[in-house]
Amino acid sequence: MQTKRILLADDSLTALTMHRMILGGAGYELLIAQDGQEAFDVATAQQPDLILMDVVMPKKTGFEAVRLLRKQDSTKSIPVIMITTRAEPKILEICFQCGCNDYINKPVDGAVLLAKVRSILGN
Amino acid sequence: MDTLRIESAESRLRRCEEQMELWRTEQDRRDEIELGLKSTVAHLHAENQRVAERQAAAEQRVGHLAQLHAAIQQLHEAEDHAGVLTVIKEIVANLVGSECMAIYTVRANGELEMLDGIGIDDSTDAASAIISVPFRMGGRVVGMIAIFRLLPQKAGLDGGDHELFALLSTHAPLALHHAGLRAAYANFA
Repeated sequence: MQTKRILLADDSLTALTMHRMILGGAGYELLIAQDGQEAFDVATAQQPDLILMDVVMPKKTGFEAVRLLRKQDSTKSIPVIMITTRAEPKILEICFQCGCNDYINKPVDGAVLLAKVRSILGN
Repeated sequence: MDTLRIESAESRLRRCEEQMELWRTEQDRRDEIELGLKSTVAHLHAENQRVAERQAAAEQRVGHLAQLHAAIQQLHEAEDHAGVLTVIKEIVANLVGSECMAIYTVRANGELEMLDGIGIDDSTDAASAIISVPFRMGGRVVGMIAIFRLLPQKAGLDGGDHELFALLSTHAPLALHHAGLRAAYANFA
């Protein structure tokens, strides 16, 4: 079976290190981006199976990056899980309007992260 | 010439009873097998549940360990004083779940001096913190992190947070100290 590839987009090295340990340990291949523009570029070039996207990032926010990805045929159906600091309904509404498939609130619980990734990618 | 044999009613009845007895025996055997299979399935369900619970607990623990690993690695990889402060803020924001916190150092006269923070201003009083994490070095308190508010979705602090605080208490001042030494060495060189 082919290893699933996940793009981790976050400007926080601490968050990236943690997500890399959890998802890398679960057998996923990981791609890294540290701002919204890089996330868009890497997703376009590498076509990952899933994107884990932080909202607040330099150059382009996670929301902007997802909106752009949804406009391209090659990336419009890549599932995106948004990592949000605020869990208010308005923020979550924007998440889904942008085309995100799911969201995780900060602080990210490793077990919840794995469960959501598995529910999208399968075990 | 074929002989026509007429079976008596009694004989037919006996034969039917024998057949019934065979079926009953077979049914009993099948019931026993079914009972055994049901018991095996119940056992497997219970075992499956136990394994799933253990896996969930292990994944929870892996999550906590990944947090600790990420925190310690980033603290000690930060190249300068500002970098260490950024990592401390990231840890509190991303791993603990607070966007209202401050980092203080203890001056020579014992007063607190704010070094950095998130969501606060100069008037923020360290005494209003919901939790303070002291920075300890050589048996002395050399600074602290004050957390004033948690993110709304964070119900409260848990064991994993306290493990992080214990790590920050020791490693954050060490990382700041090392960053200072590196800067002094760079100036000297």
